[in-house]
Amino acid sequence: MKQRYAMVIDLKLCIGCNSCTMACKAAHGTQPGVFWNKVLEKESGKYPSVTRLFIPVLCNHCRDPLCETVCPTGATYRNEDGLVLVNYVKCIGCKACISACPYEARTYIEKEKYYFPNTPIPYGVNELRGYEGVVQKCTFCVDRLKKGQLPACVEVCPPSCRVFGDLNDPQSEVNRLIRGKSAFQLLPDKGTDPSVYYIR
Amino acid sequence: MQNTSHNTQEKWIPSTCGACFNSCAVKILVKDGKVIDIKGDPSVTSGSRGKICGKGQARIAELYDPNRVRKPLKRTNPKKGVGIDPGWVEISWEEAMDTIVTKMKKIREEDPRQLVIGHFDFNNANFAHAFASAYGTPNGEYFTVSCGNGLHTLFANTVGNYNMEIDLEYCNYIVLWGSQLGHGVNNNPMPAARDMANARRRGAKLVVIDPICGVAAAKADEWIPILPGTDAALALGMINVLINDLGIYDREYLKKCTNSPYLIDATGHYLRDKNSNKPLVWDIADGKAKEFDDPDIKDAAIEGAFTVYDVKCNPSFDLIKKHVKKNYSLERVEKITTVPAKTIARIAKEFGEAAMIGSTINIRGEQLPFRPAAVEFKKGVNAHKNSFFACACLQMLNIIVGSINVPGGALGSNPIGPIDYWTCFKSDDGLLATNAIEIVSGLEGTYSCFKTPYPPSDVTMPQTVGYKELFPVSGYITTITTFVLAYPEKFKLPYKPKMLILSRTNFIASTGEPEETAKALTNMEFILGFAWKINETLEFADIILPEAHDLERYWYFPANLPASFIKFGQGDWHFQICQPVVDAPPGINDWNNTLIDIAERLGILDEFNDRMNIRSGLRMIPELALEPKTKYTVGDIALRMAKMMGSIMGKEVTADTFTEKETHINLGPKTVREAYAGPYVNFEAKVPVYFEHFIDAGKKVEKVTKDGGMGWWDVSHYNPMPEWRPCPAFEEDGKEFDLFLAATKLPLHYHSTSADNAWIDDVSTRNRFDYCAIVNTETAKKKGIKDGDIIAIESRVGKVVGKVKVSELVHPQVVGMFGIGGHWSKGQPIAKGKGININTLVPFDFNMLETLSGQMDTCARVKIYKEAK
Repeated sequence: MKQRYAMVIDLKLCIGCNSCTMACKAAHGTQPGVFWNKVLEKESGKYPSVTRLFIPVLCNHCRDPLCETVCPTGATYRNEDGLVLVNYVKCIGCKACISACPYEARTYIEKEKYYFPNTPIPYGVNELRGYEGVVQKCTFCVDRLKKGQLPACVEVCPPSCRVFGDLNDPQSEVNRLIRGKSAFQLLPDKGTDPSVYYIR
Repeated sequence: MQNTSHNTQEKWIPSTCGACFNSCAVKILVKDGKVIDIKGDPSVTSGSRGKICGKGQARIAELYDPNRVRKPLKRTNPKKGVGIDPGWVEISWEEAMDTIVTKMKKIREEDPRQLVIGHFDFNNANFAHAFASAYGTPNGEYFTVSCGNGLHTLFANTVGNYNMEIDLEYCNYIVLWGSQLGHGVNNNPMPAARDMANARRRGAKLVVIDPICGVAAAKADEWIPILPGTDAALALGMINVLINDLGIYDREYLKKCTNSPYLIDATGHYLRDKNSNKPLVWDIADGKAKEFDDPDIKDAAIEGAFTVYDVKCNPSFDLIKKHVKKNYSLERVEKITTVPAKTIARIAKEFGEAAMIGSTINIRGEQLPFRPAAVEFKKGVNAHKNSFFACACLQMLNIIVGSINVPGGALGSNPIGPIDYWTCFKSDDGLLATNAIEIVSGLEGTYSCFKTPYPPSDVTMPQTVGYKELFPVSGYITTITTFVLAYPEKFKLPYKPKMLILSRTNFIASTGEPEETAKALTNMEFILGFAWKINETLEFADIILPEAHDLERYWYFPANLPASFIKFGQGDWHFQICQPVVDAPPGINDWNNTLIDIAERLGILDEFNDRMNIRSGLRMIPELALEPKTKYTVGDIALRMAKMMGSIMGKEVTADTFTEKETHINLGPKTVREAYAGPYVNFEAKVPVYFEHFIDAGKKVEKVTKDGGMGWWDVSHYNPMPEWRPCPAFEEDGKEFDLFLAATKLPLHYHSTSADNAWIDDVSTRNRFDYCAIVNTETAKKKGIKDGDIIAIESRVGKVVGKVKVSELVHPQVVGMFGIGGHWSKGQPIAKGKGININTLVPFDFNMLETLSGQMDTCARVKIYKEAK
């Protein structure tokens, strides 16, 4: 594998503003109720010593993706840059991947829907137009990467709490951040080895 | 400038985001006449620098919303009221314009002052206000209550412009007080978010004081919950600790750069030199009084008691020192604010020590005072009846440690413009004044809600619905207009307003009890509304004309008011264009262009061009000035203004200037003096700690209102000394209505007009708090309320129903709200019925309004109970 794309998200700096959520929607034209990128939040402690944490989540582009293992048609695959992608032509919408993914990163699209009746909003790459009965998820903005751009959520983040780069390059910013702080991955016991890391 | 009709290829067009007033520079990707992407402009280094918020991006969805108003509408139901269906029918533009122009001709013949134009088209105010002047009415008004009457006034008085932020580049101890600077809301949110993140990366401490653990408090090192409306008491308690317990205050700064040494006599006035009438100070070294600006002052006293001209007097700072010691003990402040005395003492000490009084820093070769600690505040502190002094008490924390307009401290919004285009100056008494608003709002006085608050303006019985004539020391007067329109007899206007033109405002949903506020609308004979969606206020209109979206229109130039919407402190000066990136759908026009059409039909085009020349400054450059008998569009005028600004600033601007590569006019970096004005101006133009000019201003207001038959007008706020005063809600016993209301802002909904956006709604529906009320776990338990219950929230004037979240993230005596929801108009079908309209619970009662600044209190007592299904 040439490179393994990865993302590090600094939870200390995320302000839960959902700029990433909206950038993702604008870049991919996801339909109503579908979010490839979300910001979750978690509250802990007792008043007034409380912690309120914002946690952006997206597809983890795991090195050992459970979704790929269970896919019966080979629609879900890892490309040469470590991205976990879905081939909509091959996908039969069996939803096995949705059950297998421990991160709830995938959504089944039964019918194509628009925010306004018969009014597709003409934004972004029209990669999804016309595909029904398939499963969607974050692509790390594979088409933007091909053009030398960063993923939309990374580019837009106002406090720049997301860093994107190559895990296979020991000098990369993502590796520096993962080494420098107590970085963690979500649900490490699932054995998926996510490419999305968090630091606090 | 762009020709939008021939964009067949993909093209990035530079423009300015209109999602809130902050005017972020954006680049918009257009293909086949459609907007397909919006991003921040990376080349605008003191602005968005490539970033843009979710709300700004979500505006794409608005362009394609089928619920947009596309044709003129006429009301068929003569009955008007909250929630009453106007019975709209579509009519032609010709019929609409005929009706409007006939009505306006008649009103103009009777008395043009009967026309009121109310809008919050922030940067374009001068078009509507030039139209108002041309028509002959002084009533071109900003209709907003969402802003800071006491706040903007206090900033103009103390930091030399109408807004204030913190120098996040250097600040090490950041106190956000009822404010979320750098967290996706508040001023200049994109640069502030970047700078706040960088400050946190380098270890700056963040303390947030707020009844609700909102976004900023969530990120803070320490969240200090406080009872709403008690901020001034907490600030004065901290000041007491700093001055009287710890002796931490910047004596040199207070002596030289503030009116702390000015001697005050028993009447509260300055003791003045009998010949020159200048305020006197006591020189300790020579043991005698001297004029405040005497170059021979060696050591001005700020403490002690003196006798001059046989009159006993004290330096103003000495009075404050004694005042806080006597009235703001930690025990009393704890009782008022619910913040533990130990916490108050600790935070005061941390703040005072972090300010590093006496330290300096070298910036580009200039040695400047360095005060890396500051307090920042906005609407949370301001939106109470004691508005001005609540803000002044907090500002006193910055002042006593010398943290005003210096590196690391509290920074005014660019108090000095490029080539001193606007600047600070000193009054006869040596205090700070600014001409920024006169420059920014046009050279023809100010028909908008802003005015210069100091030196005080004349006091006369009001002739305008803006009522500024009775607010001599306020810099921003808004909400009273709604009261004047609702109760014209009470306010003794010499005429009765008959016609209202409304655009980009929704005051019925954003003031107080809608049924009462509605009187301001039902009193009108005729209302013309401009709308891209019909909101609650526009449901009272007689005719609606379709209005363009910001992505379809030009703005006044520069689109980013440079005195506020360029990152404060160090950075570049930049002037942005706002231009249409796509054509408005057929039959939809920018409302300012429609006003010009109306001016033409009324035969007042020459007057309009003349007023526009004066307001915009175009008259200064003959080849750019608008000519008589010529009809211009907003775009024509914006381009002429861009050329004018270019020529003033020494840059050539042509029709092709604003392109994908060259998106804006960049004048290069601010000088050190422009970035940090304090050390350059405050030795001359001093910052007030004591507001002596209020005393006589209040007496004038008292006399004029008494003589005018309005003896009921309250002048009790016209005191010179910063103090805490309880909100009207505090006067109620709290037995039945046992909780207080408070609200926090959400990044996706900042500056509202967001609730009817399909994308934003989709995210908000899924967010934990966005459409809910929040109640503390203990409080909920006592009332038998569970997370997710539908509850009633009731004040003595209204009741709303909504979903509750039970959480530890709120003060136990507070019901918290997130943003503003609860819309009820049919014209906003996405927003309708979602969230809670907090303003419904706030009394629309003149007793809620501070007659010093014009601020309306938003504090209300409420009770909550489970709503029966």
